[in-house]
Amino acid sequence: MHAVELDLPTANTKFETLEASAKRRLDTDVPTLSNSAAWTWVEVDLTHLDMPGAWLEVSSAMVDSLVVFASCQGQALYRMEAHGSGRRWSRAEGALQGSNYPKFPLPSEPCDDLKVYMGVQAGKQLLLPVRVASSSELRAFSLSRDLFYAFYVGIMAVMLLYNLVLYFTVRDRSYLLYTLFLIGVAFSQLFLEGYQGILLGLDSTTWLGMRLVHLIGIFSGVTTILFVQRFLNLKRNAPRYHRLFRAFVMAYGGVLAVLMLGFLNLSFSMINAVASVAILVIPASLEARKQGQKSATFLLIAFTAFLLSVTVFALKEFGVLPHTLWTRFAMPVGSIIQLVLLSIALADRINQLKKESSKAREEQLRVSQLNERMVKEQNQVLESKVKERTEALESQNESLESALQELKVAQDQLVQNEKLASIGQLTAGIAHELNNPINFVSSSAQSLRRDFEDVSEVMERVLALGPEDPELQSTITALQEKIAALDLGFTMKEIEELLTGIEDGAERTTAIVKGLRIFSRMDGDEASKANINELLESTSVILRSSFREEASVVLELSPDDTVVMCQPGKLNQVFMNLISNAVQATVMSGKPFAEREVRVRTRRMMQGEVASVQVAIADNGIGMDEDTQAQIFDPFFTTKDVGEGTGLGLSIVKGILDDHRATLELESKPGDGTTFLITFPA
Amino acid sequence: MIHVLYLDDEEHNLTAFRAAFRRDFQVHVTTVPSEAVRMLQEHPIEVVISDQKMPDVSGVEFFEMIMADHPDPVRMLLTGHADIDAVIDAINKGRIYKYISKPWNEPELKRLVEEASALYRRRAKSTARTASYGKNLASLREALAAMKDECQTHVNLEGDAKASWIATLDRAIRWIEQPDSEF
Repeated sequence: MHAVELDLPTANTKFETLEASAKRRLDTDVPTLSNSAAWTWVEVDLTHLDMPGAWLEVSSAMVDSLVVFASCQGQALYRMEAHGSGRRWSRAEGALQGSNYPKFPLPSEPCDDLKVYMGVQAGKQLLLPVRVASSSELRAFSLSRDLFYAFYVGIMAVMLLYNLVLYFTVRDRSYLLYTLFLIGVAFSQLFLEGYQGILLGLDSTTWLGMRLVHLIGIFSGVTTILFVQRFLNLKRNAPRYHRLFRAFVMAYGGVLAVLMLGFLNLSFSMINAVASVAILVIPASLEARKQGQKSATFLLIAFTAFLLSVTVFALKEFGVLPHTLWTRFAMPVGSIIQLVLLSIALADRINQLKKESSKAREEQLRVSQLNERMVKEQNQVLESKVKERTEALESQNESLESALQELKVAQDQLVQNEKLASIGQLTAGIAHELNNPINFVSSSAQSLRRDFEDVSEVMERVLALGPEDPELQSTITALQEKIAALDLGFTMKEIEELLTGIEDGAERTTAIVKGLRIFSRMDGDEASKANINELLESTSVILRSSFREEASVVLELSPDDTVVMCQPGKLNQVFMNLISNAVQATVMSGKPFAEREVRVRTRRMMQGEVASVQVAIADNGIGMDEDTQAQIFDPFFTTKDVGEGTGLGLSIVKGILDDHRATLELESKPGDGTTFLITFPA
Repeated sequence: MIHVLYLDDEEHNLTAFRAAFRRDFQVHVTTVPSEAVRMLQEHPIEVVISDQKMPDVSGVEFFEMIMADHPDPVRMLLTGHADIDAVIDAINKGRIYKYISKPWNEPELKRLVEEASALYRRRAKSTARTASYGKNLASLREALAAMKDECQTHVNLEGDAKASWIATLDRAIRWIEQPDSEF
């Protein structure tokens, strides 16, 4: 076989021109189409071919246009031409249709010097394997090829769908890239074999058809790179290769630009050159594997297989390997192996993912269990804390209660103390009050005895006096002298006075004792009927010694019924407290004794059917401002010096009166005095 | 007879007191403090007894009142119940001799009054003695002064001896005037 180079070779080159210019012949079984020229003419020497009804086939699906001259012994037998790679070659002016490869019938007459000139236009640099075979042989081959590619498409479609479904299920971009990669690889194979016409209805007669093989080459290259980057996780495992591959993607961009500018052959060469990137996948895989990417092994095997198949294909193309079924389909088989392996690898990724996810789930479970345990522990801690706190609170509560109890006891004690203080005050007062009458009664009694002795001495003498007494006159004189000496007149007067004193003392003592008896009910808490007037009288008797030299206390008691249901002892305490305060207030006013006055009035009142007894205790003492008035019933409030008053007096008074459902009103003005008005329900 | 003054706002106490002690003492009683002051002026009162608890004026206040004009009578306070403040005041302010509580014990009160009177009289005697001693001392001084004059004008002594006599007399006079100085 010879390739013939011609000046300005075109489709319309004449047979004669070919014959004439066949000077530079290159002996080769597989002529290479020139990249530079649009048309390449090849001379196929078929001398000594003894094969009637044989066909000449150009085993390439990438020939865009073909012009064939068959000649015998320098005589042109016929000229045929055909156009449009990537489609079923139609019998155009003699070309036989029914295959992706262009083929021509050779002359049926035997010829010793059969020569065929083929003018080829492909738009890409390619090998032009030519073979001669019988029609049936070619048809059988074509059929088997179609069958093979049908399987091929089937396998690819299955894997495409499988991975596409996986992509939509798993949403892992690896699957999408894989399907794109698969589309690239599969369509490359199919387009290289000229199936674009059947599949897409595009042949090289159209603008896109002319560039389809280039485009699929670029697409395949780019998707391969993207897939490999993703699959090997080059960004992390081998950033160096990642950057390198990115550079190749850019290069593909450049190729696309060249293609679009119309340099079809140049871009095709560039595509082939850039495709050498596939070799880099091997070291990149190794590097990634070193970084612990186990699936890199799959890629390594897959690409090795693919590259091997490419090698086989190339060797076949260059005639090193024979044209057998295996060598012909080495590349698609290699691509199948590659894609299947990668699909398995991706499936393995699912396993990996599953393992990882189950691991993650286990981890999650572990974490959740741990969490649960921690929560449980925390709960326990919390519970114990709550328990502790509760216990603390309880004990606090207990101590508070006991404190409250103590306070109550203290309060009771204070109230008791207040009561005792009044009793103490009373006792002192009563002692004094009793001591005076006791003093003069006992003293008077002694004096009375002496006076009586004087008187009785005189009386004895008088009794001894008789009418028979001879010296009656002198005895009388002596008696008179005695009487004068004793100053009996004075003595008699004195006796009178002493007796009055004794009587008065007895009366006063009786009054005091009676008052005391009434007052002694102070501790009695039982309710009983008592006359308010009596209570006030006894209280004033008891208090008199205290206030006698401090102020005059005037009782203006109502003649009406002033009996109320009450606790007399407690009311005595109330009256004592209020009257003592009133006396104190008059003393504090700084007025002279004669002007200090406390008036205690009672009266019975009727309001409709409701009867009440009112007690007014009014003094003309110091009085109170409003601030003090507001506070006087507060416990521990006192205007006295520290230690002089407990400050409980009036608060106890208020408490007692509340118990009696009695109202307590207060009227006071600084300087004018104070009036307490108590109203008891009768 | 010992003159005793008794002040109390309780009339019956006055009566009882007078009845009890009129045989032993010259008793003056009153319920009015100003009357008591008048009695102090009119009678040679040796012992003053006052009740503590009285309206207007307390016993201690009464004692304070009379202290300036009548410091000599011995004071005794009578009270119904022991009031520690009254006792303190009585001692510090009233300068009392005794504190007596009611009801009084008649013999004891009598004894106390007699003791007080004895104290009064001792004091009075001592005062009188002091007074007469002072009077004697003054006469002595006059006599010495007269001697000195005599010595200077009339006695005819030799220079040194005369001056020595006069100096001695001067020392004696000065010693009488200032008993603390050295003779």
